[in-house]
Amino acid sequence: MKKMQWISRALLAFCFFVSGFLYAETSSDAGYLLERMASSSRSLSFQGEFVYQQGAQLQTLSVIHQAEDQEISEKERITFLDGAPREVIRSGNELFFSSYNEGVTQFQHGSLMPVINKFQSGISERFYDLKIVGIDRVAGREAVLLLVLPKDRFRYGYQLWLDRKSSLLLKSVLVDDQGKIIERLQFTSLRIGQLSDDVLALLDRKPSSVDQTIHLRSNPAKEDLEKPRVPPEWETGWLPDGFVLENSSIRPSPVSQHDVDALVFSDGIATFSVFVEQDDTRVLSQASEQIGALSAVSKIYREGNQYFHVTVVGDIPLSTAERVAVSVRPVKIQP
Amino acid sequence: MNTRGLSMSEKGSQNSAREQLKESLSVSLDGQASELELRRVMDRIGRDDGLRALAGRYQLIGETLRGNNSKFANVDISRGVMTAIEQEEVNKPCSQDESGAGDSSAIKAGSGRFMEDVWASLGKFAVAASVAFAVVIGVRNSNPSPDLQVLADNEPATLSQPVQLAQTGHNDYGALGIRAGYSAKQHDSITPEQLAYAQSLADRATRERFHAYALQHAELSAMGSGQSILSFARLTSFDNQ
Repeated sequence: MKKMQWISRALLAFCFFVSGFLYAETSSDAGYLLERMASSSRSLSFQGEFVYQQGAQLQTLSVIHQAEDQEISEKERITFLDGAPREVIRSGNELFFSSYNEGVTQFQHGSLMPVINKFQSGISERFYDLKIVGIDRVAGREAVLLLVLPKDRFRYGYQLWLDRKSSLLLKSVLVDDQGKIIERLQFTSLRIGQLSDDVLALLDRKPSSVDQTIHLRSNPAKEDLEKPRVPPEWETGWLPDGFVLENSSIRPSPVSQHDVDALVFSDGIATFSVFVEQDDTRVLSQASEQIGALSAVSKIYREGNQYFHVTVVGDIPLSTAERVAVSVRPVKIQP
Repeated sequence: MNTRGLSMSEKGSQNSAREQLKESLSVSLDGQASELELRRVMDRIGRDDGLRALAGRYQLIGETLRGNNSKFANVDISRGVMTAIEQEEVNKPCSQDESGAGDSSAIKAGSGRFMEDVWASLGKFAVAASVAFAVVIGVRNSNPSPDLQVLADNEPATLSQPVQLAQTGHNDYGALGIRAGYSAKQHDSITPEQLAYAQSLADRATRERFHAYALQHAELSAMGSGQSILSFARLTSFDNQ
């Protein structure tokens, strides 16, 4: 009898706890959830498999992520499980992309690591409507469904399923302004917590040979004013509201002998890059292409006898990318 | 203009280009091709027996995989292309080539009668292109799942007007002083073949650039952002060359 009483009391306490938790969640700010999503995807260790669908294509990928620690830097390994073997290994300031067809590309960021502020509560709400719409289940885990709807037509909208406990992204659906689904990413299995030793060993297995190393000279756009910096030589004449320059860098071109100016912009949700490269092929064409979430626009900028390829790539609608691309111009040197 | 020199270098690059085309063909009949890719396939399909046969095979394979629910299940596009070309040869033995891109969009809206009229006014390369285009559109629209309709319903990417190029100077692609462009009117002095060749070079260069920059963008947007899985998953988009 006494035991029964104890159980009912415990049950009651549990109910209070759960309802309190529920209340806290529904009333909590959707913006806070998004911030938490960004931070926990760095501060938690996890491993899992997910599918990525774009148009008629479906790909399976796996991810292992090691959280940042006092001793170890953040590490990540993303493997494409279908088709030609491809793999991304990220370890601190280094990033390797190995492809069966194209060899190994290594990106090296000197001491500076560009950090793109993925989401800042209070700023992004000016350009997106955020709504918590319900509770769902993804990959066997309880998930909070969040709507991120753009307030103008310059960006895409998202439906995000975040893990209820950790706010990790479990599922993401990208929709255009007609409400059509453009891409889908969804975990099929996810384990959060300490990684086993043999999984950790996988993270340390870097490619034995590197075919192409890309040394980046990077300028953070915001902080580090004391550091000597080379200002970018190109700028955009038009940007959709809310997009700010996050980082600019000069890197060797992947397709020619020249250096490329690379600028990256973000509004906290969407990101796009602008690349400007001198042309020496004299085979010029302007093109735009949209595959899944990525829009790519190539324009030609002419200055005297010199031609430049301006390329805009990012998860923004094609029309936005077009408009940005035509506005790109050299920075006027201040007298 | 040294046409002989050009045709020799064109032959040299044909074999590798052909392999690429086969892949693009498969993709375009799956309804996944971009405008750029579609254009390249269309340009070549009319001129190559092997590719025409392949197009037929790919289409059949595709239909089977999709469960035969396409209205075009029984259309043999290779035959369609061939008859169209044969008719054209009888009617207009040495017709001048016109740009087929704008017309093909008109064709898909028109009736059978209208199509005949338009065909009669086009060169044979354009006919081949428009047939291929119509069939590809058909396959795309018959896609059963609403989610997968996205590609078909999206506005096709636009290919813009050419920029005038310098007349001299050497380059990596072996095209000397050829102006790349789409509008035949601007380029009276060069043959449609040269134009198409220059176009295919320019398209390939653009494609390479998009592909390479997609990786650079993924790297830029993933570093430190915490959303790297999405950035890198998107790389598959520009992977199918």
